[in-house]
Amino acid sequence: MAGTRWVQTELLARYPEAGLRVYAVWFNMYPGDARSRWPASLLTDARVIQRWDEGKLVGRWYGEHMTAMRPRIAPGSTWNGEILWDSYLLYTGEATWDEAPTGLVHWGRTIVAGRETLRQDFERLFGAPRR
Amino acid sequence: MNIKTRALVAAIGICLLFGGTRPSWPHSIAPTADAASTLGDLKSIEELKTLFNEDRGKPRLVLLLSPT
Repeated sequence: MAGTRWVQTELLARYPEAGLRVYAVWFNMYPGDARSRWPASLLTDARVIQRWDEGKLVGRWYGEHMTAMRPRIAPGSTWNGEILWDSYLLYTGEATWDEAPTGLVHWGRTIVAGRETLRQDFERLFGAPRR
Repeated sequence: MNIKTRALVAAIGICLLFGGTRPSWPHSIAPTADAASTLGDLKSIEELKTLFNEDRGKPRLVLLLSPT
């Protein structure tokens, strides 16, 4: 949750005019997780599209396609498993998704562990943040 | 002061209060929309793929999250 809050307050709020799209895909991973516990007030930015993924389809998909993504992992991040979660994946504007998405800039897990790389990538893409 | 002068002074006062600054918002209440506060069901990977390709031209950030 800390990583998600950081994305809202330190990235989206500080880049209010950046032309980007965010897809927030939520699914159960902890025993207490449930759709009814979705924190609606956490990601409030208009550029965010939010989806509930009951089958963990996206996390599994990324888990199965990890080999190609490994070289783009953010420093400080680690992950081994079948379902990728508590993670971010940043793509360029030119990226397209046919068999798999192209244009992966970096991905990180956890979001907190990879946030410095994400912050730097935002600066490269969008310039200095609003203070 | 005649009426014109009073009007001018009032206008200057308003400009001093509001002029020269653009609307701004604190970080906690950045632009919002209903879309961000709704949670649709993801039916398939194809749905995310379609959204992803529709937004080509913009950098895209995918977040994989659990609710607690």
